[in-house]
Order: sequence, then C-alpha cells, then structure tokens
Amino acid sequence: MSIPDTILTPPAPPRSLVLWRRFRRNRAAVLGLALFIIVVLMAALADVVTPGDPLRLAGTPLTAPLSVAENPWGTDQLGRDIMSGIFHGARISLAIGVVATIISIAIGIVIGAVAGYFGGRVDGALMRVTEAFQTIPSFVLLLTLVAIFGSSIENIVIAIGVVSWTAPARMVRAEFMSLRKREFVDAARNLGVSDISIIFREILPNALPPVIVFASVVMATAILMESALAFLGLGDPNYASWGNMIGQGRAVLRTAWFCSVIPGMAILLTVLSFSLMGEGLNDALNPRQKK
Amino acid sequence: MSIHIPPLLTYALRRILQAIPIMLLIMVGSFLLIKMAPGDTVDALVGDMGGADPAFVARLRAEYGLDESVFVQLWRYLMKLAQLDFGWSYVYEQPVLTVLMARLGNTMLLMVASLTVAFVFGITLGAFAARRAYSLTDNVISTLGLVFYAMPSFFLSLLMILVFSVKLGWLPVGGIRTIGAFKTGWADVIDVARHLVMPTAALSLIYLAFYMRLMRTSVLEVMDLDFVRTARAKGAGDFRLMVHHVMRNALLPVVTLLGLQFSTVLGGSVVIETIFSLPGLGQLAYTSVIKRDLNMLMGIVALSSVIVVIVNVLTDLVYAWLDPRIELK
Amino acid sequence: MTGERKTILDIRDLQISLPAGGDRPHALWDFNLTVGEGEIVCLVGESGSGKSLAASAAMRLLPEPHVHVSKGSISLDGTDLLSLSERQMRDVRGDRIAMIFQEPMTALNPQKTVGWQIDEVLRLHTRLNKAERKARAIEILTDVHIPDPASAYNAYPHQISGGQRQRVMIAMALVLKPRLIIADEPTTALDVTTQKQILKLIKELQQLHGTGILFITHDFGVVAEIADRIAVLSLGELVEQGPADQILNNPQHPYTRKLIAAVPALTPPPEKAMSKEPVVLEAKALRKTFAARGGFLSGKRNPVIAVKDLTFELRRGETLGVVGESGSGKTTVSRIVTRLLEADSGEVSIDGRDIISASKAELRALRKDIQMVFQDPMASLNPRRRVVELIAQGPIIQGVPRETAYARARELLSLVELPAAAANRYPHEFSGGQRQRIGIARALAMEPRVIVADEPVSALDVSVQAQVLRLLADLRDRLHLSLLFVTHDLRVAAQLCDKVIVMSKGEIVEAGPTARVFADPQHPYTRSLLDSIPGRGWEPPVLSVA
Repeated sequence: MSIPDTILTPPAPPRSLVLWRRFRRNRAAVLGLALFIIVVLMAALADVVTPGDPLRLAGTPLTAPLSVAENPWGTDQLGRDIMSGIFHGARISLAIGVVATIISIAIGIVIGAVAGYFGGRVDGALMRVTEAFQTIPSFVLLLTLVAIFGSSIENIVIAIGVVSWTAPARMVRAEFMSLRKREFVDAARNLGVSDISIIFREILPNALPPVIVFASVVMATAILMESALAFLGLGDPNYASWGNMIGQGRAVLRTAWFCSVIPGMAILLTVLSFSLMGEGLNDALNPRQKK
Repeated sequence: MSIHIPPLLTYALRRILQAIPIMLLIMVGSFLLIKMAPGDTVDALVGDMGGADPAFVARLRAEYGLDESVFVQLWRYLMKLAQLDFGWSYVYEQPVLTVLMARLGNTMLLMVASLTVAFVFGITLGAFAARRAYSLTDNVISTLGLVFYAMPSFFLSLLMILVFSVKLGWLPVGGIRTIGAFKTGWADVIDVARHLVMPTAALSLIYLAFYMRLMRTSVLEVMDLDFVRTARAKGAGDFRLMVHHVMRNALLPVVTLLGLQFSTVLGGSVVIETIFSLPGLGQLAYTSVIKRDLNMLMGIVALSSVIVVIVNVLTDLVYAWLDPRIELK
Repeated sequence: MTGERKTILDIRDLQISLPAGGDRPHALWDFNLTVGEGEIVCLVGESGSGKSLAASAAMRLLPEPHVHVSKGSISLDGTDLLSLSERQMRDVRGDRIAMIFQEPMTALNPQKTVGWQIDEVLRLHTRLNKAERKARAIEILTDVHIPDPASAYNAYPHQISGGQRQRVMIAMALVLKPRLIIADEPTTALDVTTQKQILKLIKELQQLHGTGILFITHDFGVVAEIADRIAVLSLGELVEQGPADQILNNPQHPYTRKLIAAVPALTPPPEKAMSKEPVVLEAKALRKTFAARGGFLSGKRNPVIAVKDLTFELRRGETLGVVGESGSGKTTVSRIVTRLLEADSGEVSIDGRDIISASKAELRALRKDIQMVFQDPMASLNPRRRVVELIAQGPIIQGVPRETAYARARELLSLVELPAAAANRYPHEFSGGQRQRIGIARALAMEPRVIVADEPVSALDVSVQAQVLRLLADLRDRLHLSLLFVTHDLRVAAQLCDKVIVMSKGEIVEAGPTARVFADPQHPYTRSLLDSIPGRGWEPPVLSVA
C-alpha cells in the first residue's frame, strides 16, 4: 500500500508547445497574429506591390479611393499614392517599433537586473535615475531630444528607446527582487556560481516571460510615439510615415477625410495587433483556472 | 497596539524631501542636455537678426554668461532656479516663468478633467467587467479597451473634429474660449467646458482603457484572496463584498499607476493642445521646439517635473490612506 | 459516546464534481459525515484529499459552477442547506455556521480594523445598535483572551501578532454563538506554543457553548489533541471513520495505518558516543543584526538582532538539530554557516578552515565541503534547468569536466532512489518529495563534509516526509556525513538528531543530546516548547505497514 514517492508521472510536453496550444485557443490573440502578419507582409512586399518612391507624384491630387485603378486607395493633396504610403509606412513603423523596443528593453533589463539583484545603495541610485526619467513627461523629453539632435530616423529611434526604458526597468527590477529571494538563487550561490552568472543565467531566463509580454506594449507605444512626432511634422521628412500622412491630411480634413482616416486605421490596426498578441501571450503564460 | 493616527503631514513632507535629489538630477540633466545642442541662445538671436559682427556676438555671449565654463553656467542656472528665475524667453520677450504661469491653468484644467474621466470610467467599467468575468459583457468591454488603447490620440482628435465640429457643428474646433465673446459667470464656465469636451475625450481614452484593464485584473485578483472568502463566510452579499472588501483593495495598483503615469498624460497634452489650439504648456512645448526657444523648453521640463512630483506625493498620500499597512512614521 | 448527542451537521452521499480535464472527475464521493452538538470531528487527509472542498461545500462556498455538488445532501439541524436560496444561505453563514481559516494573516481584510470586521458580522445578522455591537465585540475579544481588547478593537490586522489574529478570527466566528464551526487547518500557520493556546481556546469555548466543530487538519498530533471523532480522507474517498481513540490506536484501513506510521514518534534515538569523532563544523560567537534601513528621509526602524553569541560544534557523522519557533534565528544560522548571509562577527570553520573571512576564491573551494538542502522544493530548483544540469552544476563550477559531472549526476539519481529517466526532465514534472530528493542529490554531488538542511521536510505531506527523512538518515550513515538540521518540528528533530540546540530570540537557551533534552529539559522555554507538541500524550502505535 505504501506507495514510494519515487514513481515518475508521464513526461510533460515541451513548454513551447504548451504555450502555443494555449495561445492558439485564444481567438483574439490569433486575430492579432493575423493582423501582425499582414503588416509584416505589407512591409516586405512594399516594393513589389507599390514600386517606386512613395513620396513622388503618382496621380491627380485628392483622388478619392476606389475611383481610379492606378491609385486604389486614393491620393493626397500632393498627388502621392496613399496605398504606396501605407505599404512603405509599414516598414518605418515596424522598424522603429522593433529597434526602439530592443533599445528600451535592453536598457531596462540591465538597469532593472542590477538594481533588483544587488539592492541597497546600487538600487537606490539607479532608482533615483529611473524616477528622474519618469518624472519628465516622456513626450516632452522626446521633443527636446529631437529638437536638440535633429529628427533623422536614427535619432528618433534612439530617442524613443531612451524615453521608454523606465517601465521595463521597473518591471525587471520587481521580477528580480522577487526571484532573488527564491531558494534556487541561494542554491546557486551555495554552489559557488558568480553574481554575473546568477543574474544572467539563473534569474534572467525566469524573469524574461513577463518582460517579453511587456515588449508588445513598448512596441505599441513606440509606434504611437513615432506617429505622433511625424504628425506634428517633427518626423524624418525623407521617409513615408503614417503619422506624417495623417498630419498632412489634417489640412484637407473637411474635403478629403480619407487622407487621414486610411493611415489612421493603419496605425490603429497595427497597434491593436501588438496588444492582442501581448494579451494572448500573457494569458498563455499565466493561465487562470476560471476559464 | 495603539490607535492609528496617520501623521499625514510629516509623511508628505518626507516624500517631498525625497523628491529633491530627483528634481536636482532632472535640472542638471536637462541643463547639460541643452548644452549639447548645436548653437546656443546667442546663435539663435543672431540668426534671427540675420547675422552680426563677431565683436557684438562675443559681447552678447559675455552678457548672457555663455563664455564661462559649463559648470559655472550650471551653478548659476541652479542658483537662479532656486530663486524661481527660469530665465528669459527671447521668442515671447518675457520671463519664461510669466509665460509658463499664464498657460499653467489651462493645462491643469485639461489634466484634471482627463484624469477624472479616465479614472472614474476606467475603474467602474473595470470592476463591472471583472464581476462578469469571461461573459459576453466582459469580452465586449475588454475588446473595446484594447481598441481604445490602440487608438492614436491625434487620430481620434481628427475624427472627433470631423464628426462633431465639421459635420454636426456641435462643438468648437479649438481654443479655450470663444474668441471675442467675453462671456462671464456661468456662461463662461459653459463656454470653457464646451471647448474642453473633445480634448478631454481624446486625451483620456487611452488611460481610461489602461485603468479599466488594470482594475479588471486587480478586482479578479482581490476576489481570490482569503479575506474575501472570510467575508462570504460571514454572510456578506455580493454588493457588500464589492463595496467594502474588494474595491478599496483593488484600487491600490490603480492608484500606483495613476501616479506613475501622470507624467505620460502630461506629455500627451503636447499633441492634444497643439491640435485643439489650447493655449497650455503642451502647445508651448511644441512651439518652443519649432522656434528653438531652449530656455522655454527647459522651463517647461522643470515646471512639469515639479507638477509631476507634487502629483506623486498626492497619490502616495491617497495610497497611504487606502492602505493602513503603509507606515507613516 | 456519540449516540446521545443531537446531530447538528449531517452530510449524506455527498459528491463534488471537478471540471473536466482534471486528475479525477470528483473531488469527493460517497461522503458521509455527521457532527453532533458539542462534538469535535476531525477530518484528516493529505493535500489533494478534498478535505477543504468538503468544508466549502458545507458553507456553499464552492467555486461554482466549475466545482459543484453533484449528488447528496447537507443538512444543518434538519434544514437542507443545498435547497436554500442564496439569500437564505447568507443568513446561515456567519450566524449558524462560522468558519476559521488557516492563514490568519490573509484571512482578515488588511484595510479594515479588527473592530470593524467583527462588527460586520453583528451588522449582518443582528438588529443591535452601534453601542451594543461594540460592547458585544469587545466582550468576545475578551472571551478569546486578547490582551487590551479595547485597543485591539481599533487596531488593523497588521498591527497585531499572528496568534492574536487567529484569536480575532475565532472571536469573529464565535460572536453569534453559531451551531457549527468549520475550522480549516486553523493552527497550521502558527508556532507550536501559539498552536497549543489556540487549540485550548477552541476547546474551551466549544465546551462552553456546546458548538459542534468540524476540524480539518493534516496533523495527527493535533488530531490526538482535540478530536472526539475522526474521519480519514484519501483522494476523495472516506476510508475510515470512528471514535478518536479507536482510529488513533487501532487504525484498520491501510491508508490510515500508513499515515499514522509516518508520524514521527517522540522518542529520540539513544545517545551515541560521538566524542571520538573529529569536529567538522565549528561556530564561535556568531552574531548577526539586521540593520535599520535608510536614513532620516525614510524614517527609522529598530535594528533586529537575529543571532547573538552563538557557539556550537558538529562532529563527523553527527546530526545536530537547531530547533526553535519562527523568529528564533534558526534560519539565520543556516544562512550564516553557509555564508549566504554575512555575519557581523564570529567564526565558522570547516575542518579548521575559516569560512567567514575566506576570500572569494577560497570560499568557492570551501563551498564544496558545506552544502545545503532547502525548505521549499518548489522554489529551490531553477525551473528552467534540467535535473541533470541542476545536479552537475556545482561540480562543473569546481572544475569537473562536463561529461564526468553528468555521468556522476545520473549515478546520484539512483542514490536518491529516482529513476534514470528523471535526468532529462524539468523540475515542474516532479512531486514535492521527488524535488526534495533532487535537492539532496545536488548537495551530494559536491561530496560535502557537512549538509545544512533548512526545514527540508516541512513543505511535504507526512507520508512523504517520512520517506525523505529516512533517505537523509540513510545517506548520512553511509557517507559519514554531518548534518546541521534546522527545524521547527520537534517530532522530526526527535527522530533524526543526535544533539539539539534550542533557540529563542537569537540565543541558545539549551543544548545537549536529544534524548537528554527531551527527557529532562532544563530551561523553561524548552519545557514549554516540549509541552506544546500536539498529541504529546499520544504514543503512535507501532504498526506494520505492508
């Protein structure tokens, strides 16, 4: 009768497979993934579907959508093709979103990990800096950075990364502070593992999942920030950007609503795709029983 | 064991003292940042005049103290700040502080209105969705929240202008008061309110979505806690449970976020105020960037940081009031 | 004995269904249980047995609709609870049935005062006015022996101690003199001395009011202390039920026999002659204070002395128990001797080599000799590493080639009685006891001289606990290991330790061979600790477990 405690249960399926199954069950998340794939395809196929410079004159100005075959989504007041702008703009939005997110998450992980792991004075100093960055309204700081260093696309990407690392840093710090107290960290120290190894090889892999979910939020915010800058006319003028299209469409809002509404919908759906995927990923990582 | 008297005042004072090093960090940081900009105030002035002879430029530099080392300039700047001297705006030809103060009220009005709307609707809808978790109502509310969250505020502003001003003619396109109307008393209040409807809606929507989602999660978490089960075991009904046990506990993370996000909301006012020509700090920030009025920009950074710090202290106080576990001593 | 009593709670043929896809379709089936007036019925079972769900069902607080009663009846004084409307049921809860929970820390609302929370029961179920309610609340606080009830009334839960909080919970449950109290592991989170007081209080008040109590627990010591009747639950099945005396001393069902056999007897091993063995680990005048954090900006807190002037020695092959209640400093000791925590002053040496002042490189070499087994088998293994990597990690750091270390790790798995297939799995695929075995293998991989075990079995069910303890003792003897064994559980200490040191408030109050300390405690604190062991008067029968 006395069952020894040493009989193994059947092996569990790999974690990635479990996650994907859970993700797939979430219809909203799958919709987000589909939207995201569409945006990626638009960016990838921009030169195939709508070849040529999207900023060139491509038709009669202010052609309404679905009226002329060459400009299926219409043209703006300078005669630029809106469809071409949307497809090429997808590149800019995605590129800025991805790079700025990588920058901000990287800064966030380093600062958050060091602060959370070491605690004490190191944490105190790093948190003061974080708070300082959080106290300055991020968009005002972004404007200032762009005003000072110029609005080339590289500068904009870096500036967006620099103004948005605080939230990931706080998050990584919180994760580290709770994981640091877990006994497996003590166990590693007891085996003689060095601090650097503990931070990056023991704790970080465990702290990463929520950060990756949060990256979807950072990505969404980065795209919104870039489009807001472009909307205000402070974006890089050499590239087609959705925000810029809306900003310029504003002048003809009364007569040609489509000039702003089409790029507006593009931003809305792109950001929505990130939120939906992030949400789905989050649910997959933290399944609640009540479902 | 003793009766809990919250010494709120000393607590507030201590929080303000704690904010001083952060403010100092911001001032020093923003000063050094501005110094990295190519060209200084004199260059901008001279550029505006269309050039001047080198001797005059050098004299101007000396007059503004720009010939000294960066550290001396920094020290002077901080000393002046301590006396509430934010410098001179050559664009407005007025002291920076005067210009800032003239616009502070409008921005604050917009902030208070937007955050109130976002907070009240956000927590109500969030709690409502949580009570009906995983139902159709919850799904509709949650999905709507994601759409709100993905909606760029400037795009929403344009849509609203298109519908409510251009097509329907219900609301004014921009400004804070009807120009040349000179209304007084209630008529003036109503006039300002009408001007604020669209900016408030545009600015608050994304935060409304934030608070809603956070509140929903928070309520669900609190409802799983032991003391809620205790309350049920005491015979408390659903309504009592929500009002007395769940809501106040669930508000804690929302209040934290409110404090953390205030600076973001303030940043969001740049776009909204610019679109609706609302003469506030945000619009000022935008024009200062366009006109390269760096003194003004630094003034805005400094003033908005002070506002953020004050708001953070206030939210800390609210938090301490909500959560008796916070030691106020 | 029970025949004359009026039945209060009568559960018949109860079946509770679980959501599809779980490990079993029903949490509970064919469940029959009665609680009579003035009777304490203990429902005993290990984790996952369904005992807490039975309690929730009686309160109609199951997480419906996922988990629900699919068959049977529950009646209170003849009223069928399952047929009541939710509104009527609310009137029953708190008034005629009250409940006491395990965690007094989380079971009270942190944002409301103690008084408010007791007052709420009165507001919900009586028409008393404000002054009368307050008088009643203070009266009941007095009844549960809370010192200074008037100020406790105005205190928030975080301002009073754990034991006090549980008294408040009991006060809340008793304030309306309910017919039935359901107590779900009410003393599990408490220290033994507090546990004893709370058990005494429950018994005292129950006798006074003639309340029936359904007492849910996993601890046979507590059962022996308090039960009139016992029901034993195993994986949803009621395996045995009967008068306390009969079940405790003459259990019939194999499962009950196994559970009782796993309860460590309170007879320590005979004194071993150890003085000839060399001293392996020596600690001298250790001191650790947790400093007050922050300066004038963040407000002052008083420094806490965790350990003061601690001295002990551990010989080869010996097991030294460090026993004490929470806050006694015993865990700090385990962290200092492994230098996971820096001591303020004092010496720790392994085979004469000082570990406290060792440099980083020296420390890495020393760590090989002193290894640790942790309390929480869930948290002490990195969830992102395979078992073989976890075990081989230490030797690899010490310079052992990867292949050798992996081969050795696989051998160690069989030493801790785990199948070889375990090597390539991740920690979440194991049960608690199995994880603890992996933790032991990890410590052994370093071929240490000393193993420091910090409450290694306190998170495990009794039957698993016994197996892990047996393994530890066996390995100690085979490999001539020395064990520093930190525990709050005196029964466990009695079973395993040759010597014990008893700690209170950071100091050793008594030290000596376990047999001598248990038989003839000198210090009053040791005496009260031993007196508080639940079921002290009950000697578990020696049972042959097939």
